[in-house]
Amino acid sequence: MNFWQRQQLMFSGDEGTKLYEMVALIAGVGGLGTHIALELQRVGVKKLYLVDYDRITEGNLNRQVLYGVDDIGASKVQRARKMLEGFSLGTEIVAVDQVLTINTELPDDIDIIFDGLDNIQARFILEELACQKGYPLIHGAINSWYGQITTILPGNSLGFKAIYGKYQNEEKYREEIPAFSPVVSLVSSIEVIEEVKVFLDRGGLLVNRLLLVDADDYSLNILKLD
Amino acid sequence: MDVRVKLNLGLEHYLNDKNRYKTVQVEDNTTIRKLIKRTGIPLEDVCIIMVNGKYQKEDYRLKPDDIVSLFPPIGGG
Repeated sequence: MNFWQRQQLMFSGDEGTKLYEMVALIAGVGGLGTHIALELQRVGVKKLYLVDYDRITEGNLNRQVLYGVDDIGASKVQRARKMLEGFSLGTEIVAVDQVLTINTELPDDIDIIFDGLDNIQARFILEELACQKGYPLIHGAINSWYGQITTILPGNSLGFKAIYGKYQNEEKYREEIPAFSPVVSLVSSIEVIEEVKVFLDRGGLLVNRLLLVDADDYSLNILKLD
Repeated sequence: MDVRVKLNLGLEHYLNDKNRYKTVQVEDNTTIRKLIKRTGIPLEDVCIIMVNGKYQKEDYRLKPDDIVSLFPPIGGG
């Protein structure tokens, strides 16, 4: 099967081969995570780990694009796996129905990790797990019309401390966050673009830089972190 | 001196105003920390400070015509 003809026009043969051998883990299969999974499958990656412990609710359906009304109450990762497998595009999908904790053992065959999480505390745990294994982490987050993206390379990045330092143990910001699909889609697409650039060792990465997206006034700003 | 301030993600509600763009009068060399206190926005609600498109900390000293953008934490997914 080769459905990548159009994509191959923009990558060298070696780059294409690399992409189709990629193994990624998506932590959190909600708004960002479902969009990221769809994009990665179209890019043609070899294997996707989907990690989430949550069940689908009606309130998820405005932005979590792998689920429908009939899925309410079901496991997110199991429904996401089934939906993605239904496209028969060749990517192996592994559903991991569990909470990420500091004791979670990440698989050994991962090339890159995506942050699709919905709270700051869990992101610090994910960063710790990624650093332990030496995996690059692509961070994305949204709120209303806004989003942000950065890349954390183990041993070479300031990480979440530089962005969220004073909120690491703050519960206040776990309350319901305004979210709608177009902004989620925008931010998750940039996460996937960044991931491809990291994986193919292209320049202009968001390492130690935070891309701030404001869809309200159409501004994009890259902030150098320090 | 005048400083232009853009308030993001609901921070404008602390000022009981829907207008996200403010002009605030401050003394020369005032820090961002003092500016935030003057607006009445809780300091703990400001996560990211951008001045003229660059990331800055609370102790940045303001200059005339600076454009300041304030964000609470962006943490949803």
